[in-house]
This record gives sequence, structure tokens and C-alpha cells, in this order.
Amino acid sequence: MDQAADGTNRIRIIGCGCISNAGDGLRHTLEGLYGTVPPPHRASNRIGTTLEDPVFELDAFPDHPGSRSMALLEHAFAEALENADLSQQNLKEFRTGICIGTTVAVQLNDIEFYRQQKQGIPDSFEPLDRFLEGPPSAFLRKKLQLTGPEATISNACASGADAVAVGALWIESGLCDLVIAGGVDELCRVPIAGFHALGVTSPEPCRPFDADRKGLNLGEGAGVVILASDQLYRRLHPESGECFFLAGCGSSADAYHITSPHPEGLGLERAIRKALSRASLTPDQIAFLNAHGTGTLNNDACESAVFLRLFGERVKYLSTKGKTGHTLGAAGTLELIFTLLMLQKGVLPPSAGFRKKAEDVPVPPIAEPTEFSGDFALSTSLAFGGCNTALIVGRECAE
Amino acid sequence: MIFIAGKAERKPSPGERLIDRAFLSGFKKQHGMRRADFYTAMIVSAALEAAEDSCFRGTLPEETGILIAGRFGPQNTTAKFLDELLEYPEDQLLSTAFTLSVHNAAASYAAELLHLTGPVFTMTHNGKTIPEGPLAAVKACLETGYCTRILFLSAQESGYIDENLRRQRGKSSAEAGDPRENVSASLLTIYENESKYGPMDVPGNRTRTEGD
Repeated sequence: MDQAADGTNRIRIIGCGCISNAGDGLRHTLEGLYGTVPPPHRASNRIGTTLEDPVFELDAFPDHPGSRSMALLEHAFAEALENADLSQQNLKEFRTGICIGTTVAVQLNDIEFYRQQKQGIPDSFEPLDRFLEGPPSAFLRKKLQLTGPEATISNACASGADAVAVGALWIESGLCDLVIAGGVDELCRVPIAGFHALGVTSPEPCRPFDADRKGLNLGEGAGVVILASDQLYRRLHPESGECFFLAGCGSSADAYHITSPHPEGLGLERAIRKALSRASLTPDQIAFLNAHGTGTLNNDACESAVFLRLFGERVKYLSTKGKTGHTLGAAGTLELIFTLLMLQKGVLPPSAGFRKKAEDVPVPPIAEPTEFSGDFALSTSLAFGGCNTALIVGRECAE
Repeated sequence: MIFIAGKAERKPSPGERLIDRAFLSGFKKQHGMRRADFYTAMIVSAALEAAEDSCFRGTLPEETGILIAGRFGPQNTTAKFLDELLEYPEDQLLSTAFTLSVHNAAASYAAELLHLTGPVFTMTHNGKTIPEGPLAAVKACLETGYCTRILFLSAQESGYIDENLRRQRGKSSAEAGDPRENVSASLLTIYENESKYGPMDVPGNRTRTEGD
């Protein structure tokens, strides 16, 4: 990101908030990442699917009269704002942008409403009105009464990572001082059925990178980070302590296939190289990688091959989807936040669900708690359509 | 400074609300996109036409990016998959409609056909005009060197959300002021020697200076 050696152009991450099956809030998420979490279970009646594929559903998150996605987003945003030590009023004092990734919240996919409108006049147009109130970035902008730019990214499973990348570019280009960036998705019958039809869902808890992996489990959640220009960060925090920054981002298209990743992972490799280049880092400066690691045959084989090529046999990497499921549009932001938590702790948890090395996975993920040294880590996201995004976060220690 | 290197636009014929389906069907056939939906076809056709209109004569530099700002996304394909869900058991559905209902399917086809490996973003909005965000993202990508050229597409498909539901509410989509179906594509560049239509009309479009 053309960041000066003294850090004066850094994109600061000044606040985080999250909810997923790994935990509600940063503290519980940290406990969940290093401890046990509720296992996936068959989708509840709330979703109404007849499929038996296990999912990571947030049972404790209350039903909401409006959109569940917006409720999850607001929940994560509230924590991020508090974590940044800001108020909603503060946001109006800066040039604040909003960039949120999602998949479910940009589709009018209320099945009962759809059935009714096919048969005649629906009982209520409330689902339509709720849909039109979104997408999430527009919803949040209206709620917060902000006037800066907003964009909802619908880049499938890379949406949450791309939202962070776009937010960072808005700051780097001088358009914004502060950006609320994140991702959200709720469990919904449509993607559950769609991924099942694609044959990539697992009938049991997912095992990313494992020899016995059978596919992915869907999950739900939201993650929000608050990005700030270095100038604003220094104004808000004149006494610097430990802080995090987005060191670089890169994205690249496979230009190969609508659902399968490039078999050699060329798009992912380009995205990682670009992120490294923009961060002015070399691969050996990356302490660890938080992989997309869905548990599908293609994804995991492709990612692992790229990691080996770029980072060598001693690469430390893991997947957290065995704790959260695949949260689609939320995954990229959630996993960036998990990466920050791990960077702060200095120890990596074992890759969730991994037991036995697979033949098609050339280098295995970490299987036990692992210490590391270094201040940079990388999080990858791969999506339908061959979109690949890599985000590098850095830690700056107190002077 | 951002310049327009090529452009294309497709609209329905006068008096019509839909872009010519015969043209789109022919385009799909010509480019081996049998499974693609009309939303994808209209976007990809505009992308190819804008590339052809530029000094690159259709063969864009590989690292060119793509950004699509779509209103509602491929709403008719979403409806098609919902039809499947209503008509068949959930374990017997076909994946094609689901795959194409994912909003970035059109960008994927465009990247594949034009052999582009730059950054790809799809953004969805529900407003009658494109919000500031996607344009700001295009500008930021170019000004920060995230890519040096980008195909910027804006698309609106007519379908069950605006046509059916408006009608059921007692007001047609036209009466409600919804835009007619349309797609536009602009190839944007930071290089003045590639400019064909001059600088892009966006607030703050400035010449890059040393130290920027």
C-alpha cells in the first residue's frame, strides 16, 4: 500500500467486532479459537430445509423482527465501534465510508414470499420492503446518517475480504479518513440447497485439508473492522501502543472457471504476490497464513499447493472453518479478525478438524498449538467465479 | 487523471423495456456461453464491445480489472432457482441456476472470455441510480495503482422484483420511475495516450503528480 517506513501512510485497524460460531465478541471468539465450540448440527426449523447437511447456526442469537443479516451486522458493528473507542456521533465528524460484503442479503430469496407472489398478491410486501432497505452498506449508512461513500460487495465467498480491500483503497486514495468495512451472512435455505446441488457440502463436520475431508459446512456470522488513515489514528491515539494495520492487499481473477479454482492456483498466487508487493514484504516475513480452507477437495488442494510454492515446506498455516463453517460473505472479514487475534496471542491454534495429511495436500496445516515469531500474517479468500483476495495484517509494537 | 479508453451501451428498442433477447441468445451461442443467463450475456456483450472499441481492439492487457455495479443482480436467475426449490425436493436440484444466481458470475464470464486476471469486484445496489461507492472504488483502484485499467460496467435487468412486484402493488415499474433494462461499459485507464473519449467526469478527477 505504498506505506512509508515510518508508518505514516499505514491503514490502521482501530476497531474490530465479530460474531460467529467461534464466539460472540472478541473475547469469546479468542476462547473459541483456542478451545472448544459448539459442533455443527442439522439446520433448524427456522431455515426450513429438509437437507441433513450439518451447519454452524448461531442458536443463541435471538430471532429478529427484521433481517437477521442486518441484526448480525449491527451486532458486530456495535462491538467494533466500542473497540475503536468511538461513538456514532464521532463517525459524522470524519469522512466515513461503509463497505460491506454479503451474498444472502443482496438476493430477494424469501421462499414463502416468492411462493405467494407466484400465486397472486402476497399477504404482505414486508419482505420486499426489507430487501429494498438493504443492501447492508446502504442500510448501515442510513441508520448512522452518514454521507460518505457506501458499497455492498457481492463477490461471493471473497466479499468480506474485498470489502476490507476496497475500504483500504478509499483511505489510501484520500477519499475517506475512516471506513467501516465488514462482511455478513445469515444461514439461508437457498445457499444450503445450492451448495448441496453443487455436491460440495459435507455430511459430517468439515475437515479442511484432511485426508478424509468431504466438503464444507455452511455457517453464519458477521465481522466488522474500522479502518482509519494514519493521520486520523494519530489524532485519536496520540500515545501509541500496540496496534494493527492492513499492510497490503491483492486480488486477482483466475479467468478459468465459474465455480472451480484454477487447478494450479495461479490466481491465488498472483493475489498473494500482489499483496506482498504492496506491503513491501517478502514471503519469509509472513509468520503464518489463515487459509480460506473450506474443506472441499479442490479448494484445499489448490491452496496448499500455492502455499508450498510461495512459502516453502515450513509454512505455518491453518483453517478456522472447522470452528465457524463457511460464513460466505462474512468469512473474509471474520478470518481477518481471527488472524489479528492470533497475531496478538503469538500462538496458533491447531487447524480445526484436521487429523491426517491428505495425498493431494502437499504441505499439511498445523496440527497442534504452535508458537511463531514475526509481526505479519496473511489471510486468503477464494470465491466462485475465480476471485482471489489476500490481505496482510501487521502488528506495530509499543515503542 | 482517469481517461475513457473505450465504451459500449445497450438499451431496449424504443417502446420496449427489455434488451433484445434474440441478440443476447445469439451472443451466447457465438461465445460458447450456453449455460449463461441473459444478465450475464448483457454484461459480457457490453464488456467485449467496450474492449473492441478501445485502442486494444478487443485484446486488453491481462492485468485489467473489472468492476460491475448491478441493480438487484441477476434477479431472474435467483427466481429460477427459487422455482426449482418450490418444484423439486431439495436433494434433486440442478446447480446451474444457483451458480448463475451468484452475483459475480457475470464478472467471471467476462474475465474468462477477455482473459483478464486483474482485480474483479461485483457490487450490488437497489437504488435507481448507481451510488457513489462503486465509482469511488473504481477511482481508488486506479489512483492507488491497484490496477491501471479497469472495465467499469453498470447493469440493470428487468425482472420479478421490479416488474412483477411493482404490478402487484398496483403501480408499474415504469410508473414508479424504475430504469429500463440497460447495460453500459467503460474501459477506464490512467494513461492519456489510451484515451479515446477524454477524461472521466467524476468529482476530484485529477492529474497524478509526483508524490501522489
